[in-house]
Amino acid sequence: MHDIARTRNFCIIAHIDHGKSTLADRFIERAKLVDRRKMQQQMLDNMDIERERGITIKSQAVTLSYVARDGLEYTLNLVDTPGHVDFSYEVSRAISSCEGAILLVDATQGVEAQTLSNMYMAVEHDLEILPVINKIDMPAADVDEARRQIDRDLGLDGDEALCVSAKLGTGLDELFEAIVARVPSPSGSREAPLRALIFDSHYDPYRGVIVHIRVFDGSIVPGMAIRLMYNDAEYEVEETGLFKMGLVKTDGLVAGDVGYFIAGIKTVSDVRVGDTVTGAADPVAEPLPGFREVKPVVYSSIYPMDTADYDELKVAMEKLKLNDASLIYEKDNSAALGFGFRCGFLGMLHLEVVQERLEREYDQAIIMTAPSVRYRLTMSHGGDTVIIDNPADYPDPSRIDGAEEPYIKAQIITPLAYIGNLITLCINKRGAQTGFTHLDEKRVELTFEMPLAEVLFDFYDKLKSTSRGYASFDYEIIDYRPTELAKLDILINSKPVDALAQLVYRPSAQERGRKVCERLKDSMDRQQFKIAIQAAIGGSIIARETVNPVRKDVLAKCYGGDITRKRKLLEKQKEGKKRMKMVGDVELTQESFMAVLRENEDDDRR
Amino acid sequence: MAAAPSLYVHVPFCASRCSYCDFYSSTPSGPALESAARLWLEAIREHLERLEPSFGRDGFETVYVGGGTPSWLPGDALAEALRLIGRVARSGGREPSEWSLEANPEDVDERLVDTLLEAGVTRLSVGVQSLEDAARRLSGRRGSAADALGRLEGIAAHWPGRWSVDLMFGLPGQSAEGLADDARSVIGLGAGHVSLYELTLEEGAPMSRAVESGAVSMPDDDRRADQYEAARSELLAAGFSRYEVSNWALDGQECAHNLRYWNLDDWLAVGPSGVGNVSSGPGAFRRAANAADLEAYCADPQGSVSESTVDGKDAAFECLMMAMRTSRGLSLESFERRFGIRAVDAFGRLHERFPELVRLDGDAWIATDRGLDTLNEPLVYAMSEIERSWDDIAGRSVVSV
Ligand SMILES: Nc1nc2c(ncn2[C@@H]2O[C@H](COP(=O)(O)OP(=O)(O)OP(=O)(O)O)[C@@H](O)[C@H]2O)c(=O)[nH]1
Ligand code: SF4
Ligand SMILES: [Mg+2]
Repeated sequence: MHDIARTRNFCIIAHIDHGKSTLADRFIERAKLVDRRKMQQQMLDNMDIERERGITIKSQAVTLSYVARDGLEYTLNLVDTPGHVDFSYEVSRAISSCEGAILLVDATQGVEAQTLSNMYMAVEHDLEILPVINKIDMPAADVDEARRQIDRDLGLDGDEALCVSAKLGTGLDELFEAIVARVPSPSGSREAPLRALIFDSHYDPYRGVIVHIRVFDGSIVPGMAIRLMYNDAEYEVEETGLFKMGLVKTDGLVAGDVGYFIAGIKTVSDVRVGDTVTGAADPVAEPLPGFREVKPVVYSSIYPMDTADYDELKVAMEKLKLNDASLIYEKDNSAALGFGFRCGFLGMLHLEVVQERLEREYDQAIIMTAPSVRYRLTMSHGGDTVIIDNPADYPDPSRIDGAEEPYIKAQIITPLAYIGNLITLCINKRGAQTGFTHLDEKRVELTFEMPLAEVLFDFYDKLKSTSRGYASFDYEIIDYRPTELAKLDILINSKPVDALAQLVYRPSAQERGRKVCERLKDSMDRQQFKIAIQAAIGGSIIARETVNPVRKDVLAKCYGGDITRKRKLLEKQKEGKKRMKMVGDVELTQESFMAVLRENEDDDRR
Repeated sequence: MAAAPSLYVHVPFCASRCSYCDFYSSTPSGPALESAARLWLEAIREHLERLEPSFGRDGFETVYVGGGTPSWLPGDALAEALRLIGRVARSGGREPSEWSLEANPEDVDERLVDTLLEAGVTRLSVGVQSLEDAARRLSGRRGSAADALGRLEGIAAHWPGRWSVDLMFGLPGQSAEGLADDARSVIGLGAGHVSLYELTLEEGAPMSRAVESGAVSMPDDDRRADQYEAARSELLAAGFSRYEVSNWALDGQECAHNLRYWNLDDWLAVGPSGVGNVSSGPGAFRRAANAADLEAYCADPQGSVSESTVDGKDAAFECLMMAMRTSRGLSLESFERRFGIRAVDAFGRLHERFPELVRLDGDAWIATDRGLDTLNEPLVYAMSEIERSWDDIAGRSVVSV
């Protein structure tokens, strides 16, 4: 086993797209961890959704060895982290397992919102921070400006910042040496009782729960009895190992190491990210500090398409939770959709990722309901405060004295050309402009204060379309402010469908009701009978659409050569039916439930 | 059930490519067409000869020469192909009860009529599709509407046999009034049979790309339904009845050949992309698909065939799916005889589940008018049912045998 003095644990943190995963590629390449021919871009982004979207969603650890200029071999534990604000919980956990951080700054963009907030997290944990300027190969790179911003905005020494091109590998030697020289080696003692932090985990269908740990003190070896301190569950370690683009078995892990263990853990919920692992025979008294509590900002319910699949969904949620500690949920119940889960998410992207992972990794057919923020209601009797995020919990309006909703500070960075449209968009979304800063000749930063709820409905798509995809958007929650709230009911053939209800800003309820009805109509297939879709507030109808009965199917020919094809076509339709949900006697598509919040392309043309 | 099978012959050549079309067909012309037609002719000769020992004795009950555009074949190649087909079809010593050939109006002249009559063709199926110029242009049909009408008048005057017209709806550029006019024109000229069917855009067709790019726009559901209804009322008024989802005929003018498809009776197919289907034991079919590639087919007609067996619940379902398209519907008794199980056990009680779409008439399930328009729903239901029920009933019927 290696020497703790020659171990360096560090993460790569930055704003989204500044090149973290690309830089990680260069480390992996240098360490010859992967066959040259098998090298891909952003190797560590191995989930399908990450590759499709071109962003990192999960932090990913990897162990490399490096022979430094001093002739000694060092073990580097690198953690690539996501840059998107919805996944900052991933960053915070990576930080807890490291002594140093490479803070990457894109030389063409400079310091951005997540550069700052990720740096603060690292500072809080006393990490040694190495500012590194990336993408210096790009014509638009402005290294001097990046240095100035590192000085001014981050309070670090900009002159000391190394310059690299993660794409070309320029400046990598200096970076390796700087890591060895500046990131402190871990401080724990191998002889002390075991103390390891669970910073992540995942479920493997063949091997069960795989626990990702950073060992702070002592050692963990196969055969050893360990204890999970949160609930005192005890297990015997079956295997330990390192992350080297795949799991690589070792004889054990010691203080300073980042790796995994497997211990035949059957009860998935025993494993909690942030918990401390200690020895059953010689336990430590105090667990490690663990992680800050997750504070979801968006809530939505997840139901199985087929109510009979609730138990299966429950297992899938537990397994997903192992690998996504920021997902929180509790059991929920709907008249239309049966049992499901009320879930909290760190943002809309997080919500989408959870939806996709459940569908793709766990093969679940699910329905998600309209996202909601968390409202504060003051009740007339006794002035109690009630907090709700679920339309189903909306009390009788006559008992409500006042309501408050969360506001955000939104930061939009955009090329000059789109300012006008973006300001109009934000004002329509009840935003109040609070700032306007020229970043350089071409770009400005706009800041707004606006309700978070407005960002959940039609905001991102509009932001992208009005700025041709050039505007970037970031936000943080600032406070709660008074609002007028109403519950928008959706009725299908005169019956309210609880899973389609939404909490809305009263003055725009009419407009919202109209849009929701339209979109529902577009998302539905015609059926044998006429369907009325209505939006109502407190029993009075404010919008209505009608779906006319189907008049005919496609009346195609069907001769000798068409039989097999025709049967296959019907088979496909039959499969499609599985993605339909009967609500009363009306069939809704899975999209119907999401359609209420996503813009369809022709909305604007109408 | 007739003892002799039917024969389908696929002619894979067209004068030009219609933009919505995904049939197997190519468009050589001049000497290239001459030599391709020769190759094709030799291939179907070889294919037919190989078929003969097993099927030749009784000849063929019906013959259908389709495509592609059979009428586009060079005159001598066509005459020779028809001689060849006729010889095989008659080898049981009988004339086939019906012999159809597809023609494009532009190709129909007195010479063609003579060739067909001489060979023994009894029925002409004319691919008009639309008599609206805008629609013809947008779908790349040859010739103008006026030209097509002129040719149809010629057919009316010179063709002594039965004839049918193909009309499409849902094409870009079509209108409900246009469809009513189209139907009236062909009925007025004496067509005793009309195939009225909707455009289905397959992914590979050039029109799909034009639609995707926004260059061409498709009529929406309601407009297509309007067009269909306009043509339908003309046909009804003229005494036509709808004997299959997309086929209309005056009394006695139904296409016997196509009825055999819907009944899943035996037929063989020669020519590239042709698909044959023969019963292979109780409740099972052997389906033979010729290569959809002229070269591969001609190199070794029989060798290019890919065969598959359709049996079990797939065969039972196909039988329902095809039969329900016709006005005769599915005879529950003959279904039971064929598959050894009761249709209601296999598919559920369709007439009770969909009373507006399927009625029980004596011993048959028959689609109502609305049912013929919206068959997918009961069929999809029946498919789910048989998937659930099959193992159960198949097991039981084995025990009871
Ligand atoms: N020209 C150039 N492009 C780079 C460089 N580094 C990264 N890129 C490009 O920048 C884009 C984003 O790179 P990633 O490595 O995925 O960025 P990231 O920081 O990991 O992004 P997230 O994980 O989503 O936060 C990709 O298209 C890279 O090819 C560089 O040094 N030069
Ligand atoms: S004539 Fe018929 S087979 Fe030939 S391209 Fe046109 S539609 Fe297709
Ligand atoms: Mg990344």
